[in-house]
Amino acid sequence: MKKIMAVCGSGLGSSFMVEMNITEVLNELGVSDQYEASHTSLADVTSGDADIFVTGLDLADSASHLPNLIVLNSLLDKEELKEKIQEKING
Amino acid sequence: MFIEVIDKVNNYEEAIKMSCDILEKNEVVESRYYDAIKAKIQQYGSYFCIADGICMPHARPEDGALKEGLCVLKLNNPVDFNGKLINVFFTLSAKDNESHLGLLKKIADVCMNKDKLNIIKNSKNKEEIMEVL
Repeated sequence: MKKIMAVCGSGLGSSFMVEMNITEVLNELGVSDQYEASHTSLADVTSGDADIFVTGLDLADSASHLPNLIVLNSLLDKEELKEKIQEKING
Repeated sequence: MFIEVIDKVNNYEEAIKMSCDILEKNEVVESRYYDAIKAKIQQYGSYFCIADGICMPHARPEDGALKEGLCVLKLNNPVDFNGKLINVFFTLSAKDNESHLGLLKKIADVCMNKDKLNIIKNSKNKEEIMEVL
């Protein structure tokens, strides 16, 4: 199972919300049997924790060390998330 | 859940402090919870702005959160938060990493629904906000 991890400053607010959206997007894309979503904080995250990382624009610099990073301009925009996850999965 | 509608504040710190004071008065957080939120903002900026006009200040359970809780502070006049204009503060307290999922779902549901969001942003009435949530 591959992992997609949402990351935010405290690891329990916005990242948790984004995780909910990732789960929905994975279902919509029909890949929920291949990918699972989770969330964590910038303080705890290491680059080996997941295959794809997702964060918001405000944290893009703080998270720039993470590989395969998706940066969301609008944190709760599911369409943007879907597009960018699709790109990573197909890319 | 605690809801407050006020006309305006001088700066975003005041709005967050006011929200934390309400949570503290109701024994949801300790006073140091506000300091932890301030420290997070200093470290990472306004990252908990989750939608247009909406932010969700919070710290971590170990930062003085006593139980799960939410204070909704609606400003009739938006305030600047690092270049973003904010008029709704969802100040959140979580006692662990998972149990506040229900509260987050409520907030996310409102933030992803333009109609509900507009009602809250334009409402001057606590009961109306409560109903939408």
